[in-house]
Amino acid sequence: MGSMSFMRRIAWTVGVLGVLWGTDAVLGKSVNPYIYDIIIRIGITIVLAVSLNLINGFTGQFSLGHAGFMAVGGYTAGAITYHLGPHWVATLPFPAGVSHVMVFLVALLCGALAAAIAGLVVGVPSLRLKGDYLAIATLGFGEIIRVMIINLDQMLSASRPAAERNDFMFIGGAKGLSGIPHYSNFFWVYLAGVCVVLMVRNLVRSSHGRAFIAVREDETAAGAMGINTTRTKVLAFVIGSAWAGIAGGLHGHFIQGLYPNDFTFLQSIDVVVVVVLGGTGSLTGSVVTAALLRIVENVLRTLPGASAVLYLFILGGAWASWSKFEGRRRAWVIQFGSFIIGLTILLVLANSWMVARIAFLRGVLYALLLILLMLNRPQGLLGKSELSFAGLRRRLSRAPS
Amino acid sequence: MLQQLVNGIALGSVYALIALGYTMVYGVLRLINFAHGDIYMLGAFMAYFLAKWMGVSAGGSLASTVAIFLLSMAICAAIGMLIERLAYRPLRALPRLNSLITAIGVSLLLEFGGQMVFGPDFKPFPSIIQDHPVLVIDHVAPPAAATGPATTQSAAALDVSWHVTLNGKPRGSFNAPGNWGLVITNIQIIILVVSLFLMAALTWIVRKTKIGRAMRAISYDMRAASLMGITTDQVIAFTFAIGSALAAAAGILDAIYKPTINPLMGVLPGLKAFVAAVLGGIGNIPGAMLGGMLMGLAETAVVASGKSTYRDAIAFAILIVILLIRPRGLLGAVTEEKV
Repeated sequence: MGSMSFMRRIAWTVGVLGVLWGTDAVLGKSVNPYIYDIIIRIGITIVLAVSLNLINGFTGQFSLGHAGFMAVGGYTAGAITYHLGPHWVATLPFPAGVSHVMVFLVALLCGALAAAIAGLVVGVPSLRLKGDYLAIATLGFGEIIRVMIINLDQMLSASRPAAERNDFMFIGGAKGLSGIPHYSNFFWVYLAGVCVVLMVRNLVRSSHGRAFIAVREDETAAGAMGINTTRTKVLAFVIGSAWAGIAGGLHGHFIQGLYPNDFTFLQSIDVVVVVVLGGTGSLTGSVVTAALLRIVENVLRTLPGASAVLYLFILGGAWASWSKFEGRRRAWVIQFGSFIIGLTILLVLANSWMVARIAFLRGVLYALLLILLMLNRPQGLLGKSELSFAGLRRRLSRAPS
Repeated sequence: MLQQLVNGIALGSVYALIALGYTMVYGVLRLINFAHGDIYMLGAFMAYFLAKWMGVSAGGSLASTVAIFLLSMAICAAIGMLIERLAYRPLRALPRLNSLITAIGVSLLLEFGGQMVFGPDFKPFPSIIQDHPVLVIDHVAPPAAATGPATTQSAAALDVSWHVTLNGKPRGSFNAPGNWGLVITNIQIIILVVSLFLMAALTWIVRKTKIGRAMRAISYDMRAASLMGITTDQVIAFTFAIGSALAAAAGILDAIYKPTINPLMGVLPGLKAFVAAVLGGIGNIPGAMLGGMLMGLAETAVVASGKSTYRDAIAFAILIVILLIRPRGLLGAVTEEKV
């Protein structure tokens, strides 16, 4: 879009807000809650993935602790709306609706701030490490954050008299904090999504952003060119963590609860998977993959859906390896034909067995998807490129020739 | 105190065995093999099914126990080689982070696959080795004091008489202040002995055999090693086989000790053993043993001090401290960064 005049910016902003508001109103009334739930989860995953892409994709660091920062932000925001929210709503001199929104925004911003501080505290020491050492250190920090959340109530109540200790509840420990107001809706989640995409996009086009990419491409050379590499890496980490914190707040105010087990290592991996499958360094890749992964995950909830995905796997593999089997077409037919027949026999024979274990089958397929995509397309679906209408038009006009 | 030391050493031996596999694979490939903890789980499950199949339920003969161990280790060695062949070898030329993500994928595959095939619940592990105490030190309060009103004083403050029982026979007693209470079971001794034996065998392989020299050469410089005529693919497969066999042995030992198994039992021990490998200096075999022992002792100390909710955090705290203060680990060599 290049540089825009002030008025066009205003128009765009109003337009985006209007579209989000309108879609929110329509979705809230017309879509069944199950679909709405998936749509919101896609939005939250987009915020997480795009923010992690700034760290893992554009700056080339490898964080495996995003869930930890999500937890910090989520718990901060949740504790504010849970403990202070009702009081604020009662005392603020605005209509109740406006007060609720203000409480929510203040909580989200505090969550982002807390997550950013956590990101700074974790990032400054651990970003001295590189590659897999950094990955494992951030994983460790993520788990430490979770253990601290589980133990926080106990620590805070330790100095109180024994009678009060059992009733003490700040963030709920291992049981979790439930009863958070339902503030997140399509509008807020996707507004955050639009903001994080625009922010990361504009950031990586600025001179700061070029510093991020320079650090990714060659840290030593970037340092030699006068870039403060430590500062650049920490900055990316702090911004990414802040957005993870916002995603945590949105998550907590959507499912109306915060539970330590939602923020394990697996949650961090899930975000990494979205970023890597979408292509590290591709924003549209992250967005598209976030949507795809959440949808596929829901398709896999039933055996027919899971079988459809399995058949698609095989057909996709057959399509992708067509050129590899040049001159060995019979081997190609035999291999993929036997896959399909084998799968069909398995589905017929072990149907009830699989239905009973569908949750684990889903995990198995998720893992297989990750491995197969890594083996066949290690750069991710989009690599470092972006989807755009201009690019699509170029492709279409080139296609006939 | 003494008791915690013994428990810590038993736990540490298990961690050390797993850590060896991490450190060996990291040494040759610079890859954190996330699936390693799940191989440990598979080892325990293989032993479980073999014991069922062979009909060993309680205190089987020595031959059947050894057979269970060796067969499970062999199966896991084969699985480890298969994983390397299918999931890691095709990516070897690409950036290491790709292999790391694939390793995470393999780990998830084994965890979910394990839950699907074996069922997600905890299973009681058959006691293929009957558990009995070998060395017991306990104290009996003197009869005079026991009836008197002054017994409320804590035993630790007094000179109490401690009785030593070895294999069920009293072997004398001694008087000492403090808590000398101790139970060492045969399983704890077996864990330590088997681990020490396997570590010695591994050290021998790596130091004295031809393939061990090839492993060290690859770890030093893979390209140069292959130019010198070392068949790197075979040696790497062998490394995975040995590491997986050790993990399987660790899994069986731990299963006998606990004695329950479940498909997610490998996740935390895997991560902790990795931390142990980093603590000792990754790529360094004595370092992995030392790191494993220290990790076991540290964890037992945390549990003994009544802070058991922190037992899983201590490993990561150690990891972060060691990475910040001495990233090469306690026994690791300094690696120069080449530009």
